Amino acid sequence: MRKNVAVDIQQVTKIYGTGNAAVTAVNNVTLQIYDNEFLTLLGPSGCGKTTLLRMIAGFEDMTKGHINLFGEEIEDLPPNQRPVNTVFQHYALFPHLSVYENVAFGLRRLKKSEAEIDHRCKEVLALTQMEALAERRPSQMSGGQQQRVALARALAPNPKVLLLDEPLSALDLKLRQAMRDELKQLQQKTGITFIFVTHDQEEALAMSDRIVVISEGKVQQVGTPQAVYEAPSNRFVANFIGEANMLEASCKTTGKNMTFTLVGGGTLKISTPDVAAGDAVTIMIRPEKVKVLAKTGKKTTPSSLQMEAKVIEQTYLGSVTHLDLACDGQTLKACINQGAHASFATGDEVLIEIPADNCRVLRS
Amino acid sequence: MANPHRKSKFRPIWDFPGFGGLSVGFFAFLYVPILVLVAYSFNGSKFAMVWSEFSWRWYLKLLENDDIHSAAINSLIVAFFAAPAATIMATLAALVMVRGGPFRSRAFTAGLITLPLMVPEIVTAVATLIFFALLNINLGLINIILAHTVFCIPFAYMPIRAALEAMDPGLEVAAQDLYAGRWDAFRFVTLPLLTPGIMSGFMLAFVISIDDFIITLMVAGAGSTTLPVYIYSMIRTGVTPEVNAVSTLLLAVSVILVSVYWLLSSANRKGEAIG
Amino acid sequence: MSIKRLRLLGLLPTWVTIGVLMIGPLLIMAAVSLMEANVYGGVHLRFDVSSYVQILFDKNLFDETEFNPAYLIIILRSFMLALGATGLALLIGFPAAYYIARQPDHRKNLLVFLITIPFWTNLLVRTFAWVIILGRGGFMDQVGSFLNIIGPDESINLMYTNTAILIGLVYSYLPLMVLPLYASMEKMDVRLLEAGADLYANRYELIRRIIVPLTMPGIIGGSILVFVPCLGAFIAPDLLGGGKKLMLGSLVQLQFATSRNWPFGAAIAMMLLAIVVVALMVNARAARRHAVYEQTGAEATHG
Repeated sequence: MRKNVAVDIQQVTKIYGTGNAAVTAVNNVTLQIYDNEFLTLLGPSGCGKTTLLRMIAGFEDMTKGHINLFGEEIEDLPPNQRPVNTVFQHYALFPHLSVYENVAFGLRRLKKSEAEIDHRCKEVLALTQMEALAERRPSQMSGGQQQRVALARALAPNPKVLLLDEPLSALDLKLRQAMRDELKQLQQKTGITFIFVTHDQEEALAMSDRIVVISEGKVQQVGTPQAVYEAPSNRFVANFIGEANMLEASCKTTGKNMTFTLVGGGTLKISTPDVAAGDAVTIMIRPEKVKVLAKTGKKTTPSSLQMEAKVIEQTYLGSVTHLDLACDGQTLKACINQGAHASFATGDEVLIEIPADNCRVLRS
Repeated sequence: MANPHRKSKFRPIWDFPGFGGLSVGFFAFLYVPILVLVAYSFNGSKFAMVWSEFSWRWYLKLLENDDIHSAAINSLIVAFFAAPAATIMATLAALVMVRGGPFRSRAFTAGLITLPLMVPEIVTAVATLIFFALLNINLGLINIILAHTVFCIPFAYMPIRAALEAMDPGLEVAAQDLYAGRWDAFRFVTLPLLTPGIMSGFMLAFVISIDDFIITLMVAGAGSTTLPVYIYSMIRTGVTPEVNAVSTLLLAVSVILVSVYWLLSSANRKGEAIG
Repeated sequence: MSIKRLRLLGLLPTWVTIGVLMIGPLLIMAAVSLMEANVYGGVHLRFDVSSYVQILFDKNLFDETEFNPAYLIIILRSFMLALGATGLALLIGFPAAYYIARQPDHRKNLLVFLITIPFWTNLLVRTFAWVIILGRGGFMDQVGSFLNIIGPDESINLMYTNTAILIGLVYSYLPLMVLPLYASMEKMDVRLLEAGADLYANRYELIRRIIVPLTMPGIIGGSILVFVPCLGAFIAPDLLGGGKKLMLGSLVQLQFATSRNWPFGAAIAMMLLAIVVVALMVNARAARRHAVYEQTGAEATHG
């Protein structure tokens, strides 16, 4: 099924300053964002995700590139002419207007009829459960309430795309988690394209249809949460999302029986494209995929690599236990379920098993 | 619609086109008259408003004018008495208001101090005139000094209070922790740190006193003319470039004093308490 | 010495000075306004409200009381000119205050300093500059004939008009409008403008719907700081109006210079004072109402 492209970002670059002091905030980003999807721009602080968002909104201009909205070029349009609305990080609610008037603001500027404004405002306030507070002032409300008002205000003019700039970062944990579900449902209900910016990978995984991982102005990977978690395309993505064990290796043979030799010894047969014999690579495996067995255990999977290790730290977290294992001069992390295997104590000599099927080969 | 090359100038949304130009116009409006005044003081012609040639003659004429000398000296005398008096009182008042803790007459005192700023100058002038006349106080320059002291107080007060508020009260507490009594803490910690603020207040009070016209006009008796009042009488008699010259000098004095004040207070801001 | 004693000591000089030399005279002036005038200057110690009556009424040749519009005209002129000057100052000062508030810090401080310099110079001298400019054959006429707007012997002839006084008033008190405006503008959060633009407001709407409401304390404060002194202005009408177009300030001064009608002068001064008090109360109320708008979003409440 071919999806409609909502936002088409073509080779967009943003450079601040000139000469030696020039800073490239966004570096040649090309990206298609589809209609009716919840897309997250994920990355550490300063990676350029907010800059990219602001360029879509129209608050920053681009040094190079184009941005199309449903096929129309918008880069020359000022922000007040783009059918795109933003939920700002610190909400930017108008302190001199009531909640209702804040929400009505965009519709009034668009010269909608009073009846239409009233209907739409009530609709959107109901959607965000803010009807009861319609006559309050922003300063009289809690952070969570202000956040909903900001959301309602941005939804009221029925934008084609909704931009959300780390809207949950100012909320405390419980509220943040509750809002995650609400935002996801809101997107599905309204069918509007949501472009969500955050540095919190858990948020990204929980809410997104697709995640765009950004670092230093460049797109590292675009994919569904599953793809990004289980098949990260490079070290950065692997490390940024979830935990990862990194094993240095080199390619011994290619072809049908592609084999990798670990630096510390041991081999793994992993089929992966674009690798030539002799290439240095990193083999990544998630902690929960690392099997931990008693010293006398047998190999559970024929294609896995077994190594000796010693438990140097264990952290009991109730449903899971994190283990730090010393193995071949490296510290590996494992995560085992409660009751799944025998329990281990610090200092135990154990066997760890690395199933080839759960491994991922990354460029070094 | 497609525009392959980078487009017309992008303005951030908070940047309003034309406001920069209007601001330039604003500063022009503010300063051109002053520049015209100064320029015409170098006008060789007898008629103040018709330019003929560049000349220092009016400034030279000033040097011979004894009346202007005594008027200028009177202005200085008044300022040299009124400004310090006002500054001392303002310092004491600021110390009490900022460090004195809560007390009942605080709001009243605050209002009292700003009163001279709120009342229109002509009203103050007239009231003071009536006061001196009915009570038969005819002490020449002293009348003026008394009148000036009153309205110099709020001008001295403002920078001193600001400096005190910016000062960390913890410093005095630290001094007391190190065995300084209240007076010593004041003398060795508060006062030295407050001195730039006091100097600023003094400068402002001084400038305000030198520049005062309306109140001095009404309150001054015969024989105790200050420079602004004398300038007024010159304007009434007939406009010659001599007026421009003495006006320019008065302007220069004010500008220099205010600039010193500003440099002092910027330096002060940079050297604030650490930690 | 106790804290209380120290406080008293610190405040006493100021209390005494301002009390004796300001409040005292004001009270005496209030009393004088209700006394009978002495033809040789000064007053007779007798209760007499005729000064206040004189504002509106006069005794004609037949000793009947009839309405005298002369002073009303002066009052009206003062009000109109003060209002006009305030409006103009607001118009001129608004873009400048906004522009300066958006500058980087070091430039901001310098520009603010440049605004305050004229404020600290002598008002008489500054107004006199306009005499040079507007006078017959003055700077303006010279520029005008240079640009061929007028002939070599003609004059634009603005001197001694209400317009000249208006220009003088605006010029005198413009810094007092800009500084409070600037203070308000500086406090405003620029992100609110972004939010407004995001919600389809054009630049005019941004000013009208966001900037103006949020800088209202500055607008009102600045307006009062200009309106009050303009009402009681003396120099501008005297120098630029030629003493023919009187305002309240010049009217008062006249009573103590040549006319020697002290109670009448005092009465007008009391009227001025009353207007100032009203203006200050308006300012206080408006400031309280708009103080709520100083904060916004997540920073206001602990989010």
